[in-house]
Amino acid sequence: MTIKRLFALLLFTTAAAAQAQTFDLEAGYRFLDLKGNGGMYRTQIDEQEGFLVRAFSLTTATGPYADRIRISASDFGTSPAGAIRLEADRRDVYRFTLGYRTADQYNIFPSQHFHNRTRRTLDADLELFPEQRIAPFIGYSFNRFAGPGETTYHFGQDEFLLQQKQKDVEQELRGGATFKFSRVYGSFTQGWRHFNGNSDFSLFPGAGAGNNADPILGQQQNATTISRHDTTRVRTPFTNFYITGDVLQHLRVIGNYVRFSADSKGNEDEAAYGNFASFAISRFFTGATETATSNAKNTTWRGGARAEYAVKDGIDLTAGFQREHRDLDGAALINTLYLQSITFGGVDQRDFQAILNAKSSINRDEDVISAGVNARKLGPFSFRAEARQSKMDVDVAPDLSEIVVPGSQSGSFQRKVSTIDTNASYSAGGLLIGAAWRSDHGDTPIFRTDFDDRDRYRLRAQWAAPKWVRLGAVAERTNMSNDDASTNFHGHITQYAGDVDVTPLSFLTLRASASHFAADSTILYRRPETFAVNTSVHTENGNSREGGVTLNLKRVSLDAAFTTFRNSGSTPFKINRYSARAVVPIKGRYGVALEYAQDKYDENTTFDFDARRIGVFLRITQ
Amino acid sequence: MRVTALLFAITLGVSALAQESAVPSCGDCHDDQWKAFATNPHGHGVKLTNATCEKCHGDGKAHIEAGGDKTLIYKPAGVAGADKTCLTCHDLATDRVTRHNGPHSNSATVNCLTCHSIHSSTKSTHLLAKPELALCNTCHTTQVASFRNKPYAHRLGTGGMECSSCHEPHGRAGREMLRQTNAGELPCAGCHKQQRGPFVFQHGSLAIGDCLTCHEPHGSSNRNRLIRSNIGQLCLECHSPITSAGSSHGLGSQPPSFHNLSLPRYQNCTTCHVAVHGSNRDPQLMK
Repeated sequence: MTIKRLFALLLFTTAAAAQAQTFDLEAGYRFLDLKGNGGMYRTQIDEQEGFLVRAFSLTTATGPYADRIRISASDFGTSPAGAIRLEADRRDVYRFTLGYRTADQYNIFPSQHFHNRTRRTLDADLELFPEQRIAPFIGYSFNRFAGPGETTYHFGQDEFLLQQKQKDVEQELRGGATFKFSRVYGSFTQGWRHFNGNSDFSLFPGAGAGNNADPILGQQQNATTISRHDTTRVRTPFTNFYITGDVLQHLRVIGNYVRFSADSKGNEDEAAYGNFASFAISRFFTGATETATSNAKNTTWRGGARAEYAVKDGIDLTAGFQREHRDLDGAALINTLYLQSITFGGVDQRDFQAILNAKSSINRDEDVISAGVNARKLGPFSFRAEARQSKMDVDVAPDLSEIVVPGSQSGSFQRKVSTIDTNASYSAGGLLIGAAWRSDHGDTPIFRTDFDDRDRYRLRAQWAAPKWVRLGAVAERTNMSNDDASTNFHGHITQYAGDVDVTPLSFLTLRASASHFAADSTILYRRPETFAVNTSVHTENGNSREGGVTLNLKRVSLDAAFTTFRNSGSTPFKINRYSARAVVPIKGRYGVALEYAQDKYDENTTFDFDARRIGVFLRITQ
Repeated sequence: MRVTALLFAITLGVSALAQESAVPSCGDCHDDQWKAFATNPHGHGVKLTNATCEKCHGDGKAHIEAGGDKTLIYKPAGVAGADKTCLTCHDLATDRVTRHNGPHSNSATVNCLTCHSIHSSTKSTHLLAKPELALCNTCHTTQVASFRNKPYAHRLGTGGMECSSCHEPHGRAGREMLRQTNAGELPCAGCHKQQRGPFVFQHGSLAIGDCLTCHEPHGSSNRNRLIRSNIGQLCLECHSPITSAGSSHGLGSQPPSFHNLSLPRYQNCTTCHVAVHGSNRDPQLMK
């Protein structure tokens, strides 16, 4: 957002504040002192120096066109993500919401890949005659993701750095109605999505020599020009419907159906000139032009029914069935013309054309049946248990292309997973104890990392008997395995967390927490270059400590916190975060908020950074 | 006669007005809640009277007459209060949402009034008792710690992104606790449209599995928020068709032998296979 727009917003809101029922604005300037790797800082945090609307809200009551209008905004300006929301309604006449969000996505990858893009989304929804028997609604969404990037392109037995411009825009229009007749209610939505994706690539200036400095069969590879333009258009109509009926006094039945059909059309034009080699066609060549047209379709629907029977107040039995069908088909015609090609033996073959006419398809059916009981009012106790079974049938046609080479990428697969999901809790006198267990058992894996058995355990306790103290603790453990001799997959995730809040004085709260995160997984894999079977080992072992204080005096409030996290797993790193925020009134409804934040990231490489931010914000409240 | 009738009518009217003003308003004592209710979703658009308060708090006559005796007014609390008061109007059940059968359905441990504060600040959306991240942190401490501690995570609390952007707090157990797009997809597809496809050359893990096959949205040690620290490790765990007697290796082909894992470039598969979610142009997902 530009500074002008920012000030326009401030002026508008200041004027509007005069009529507001409630009004809050906090805006100011943030200073940044960054040491270390700026790219990594932007990838992780990305809070920049400059003007910022930290928070804004305005609520009016009883106007000529609305019973209430509420506008709220947060983090607009130099923050990586901001949002504005407008809500307006007139009782029994309409309800309107408008939301706008922006999010920067900056990512440096290892090597030569990075992107610096912004996503802007807008959602508008209008519902007429809410709470009436039939309430029609209409909605519109806009999503734009655009910005520059850099990537590499493996071409002609070399790899070239490309600059990229990407712009993806999707718009969605939807309409429908909710209905409510006596014991039956539900909702129907019909919508249309329209996605337009455009990417332009060109050789990065000075990158013509490529990343491979060695000659191929005595010939140096280089590029003078590489350019590519891709377009993708996807049209997706969708339908969404559910109906709920209280058919008997204690019996409720719910039916649902959702379907979409995405039809994608793609075009590509590419041209590359220079000196290249290709082992695929066993030739040297001086350039290539390529055109590709493609069409892919994904039709997916899901439907089901569920019954809920109230045995008595607080005890419910449920049973349900869902079926999902997914059908993916794709076809591409890729026409590549290699220019002035000669064989590796030196025979002049002039131009050479290669045409790939590919087709792919995946059909996937999944049925899920479930039954459960929920006893939620057994005095201080509650208990819930559900059993589910999902059965998946997948057919993958031979032309499905996946990473690298054909093989192991087609066929028919079936997998059945049985699940038991339970939890129980006790709550009385300020003491709360909860336990949850979920067990999944699967048969034939579709992917190697699919489990045979997976168990998740969760224990939670909280004690807040005297109101000035709250103690909480959570322990979670997940075990998964596939004992097949060719896979030997074992994974474990363990998490502990404990926290304590103490309020010894009405204006003072102290808090502390500690957590532990550990993950380890092992699975057999084959090294491509030797065909040897090795074990892939992934570990994480992280510990965090956090402390904080909140002080709410009559005129001044202060909140300060410190967090440290150390991970000694496969990718060791250490993060220290400090933050403090003080709010001081100046006069009347004016005040000042001062912020300090520091994030120190240390993985002992050139990606380390230490970023301090100081923010000074003017506050207006009413 | 007419004058008499007029005087009688005036007398009656004044008397009625006097009687009406004699009935104290709830707002006489509960001034803050009374004023704030004008912008409360339960209160805007209606003329605020004692009857408005009595919809949830029951008949307040005895409470008023006793000078505000707290024992003579119903204050919804706990599972009984949530059931009796909130569910009178909000007992919604769809294929995904429930007030009776989900992990967050009303019980002594967690109920409507655990997370929602009806008379709380009007600045909070959905009348939440606390800012959303702090509220969820009360029970889901490990998940919130993961967002805070891991270097690569969605930025919660800024830009309108909260736990409920992806999770349906009133949902049924399992995947039903995730929000869906209007077309019934996982919430990831709501923002990351460009990865949704469909593609001619579809990566099988996305078509048969889902985003969570490879990604960890709650925070990761990997810059692409993968479930493994290294990309190559993640890919090769599927792309190693090793078989033993009686077993099926499933989907996932073997990379050819020039992929020398002792060289750093081959440890990072997406250096070359940049279109890892799927491609319409290249069967090997290289553009």
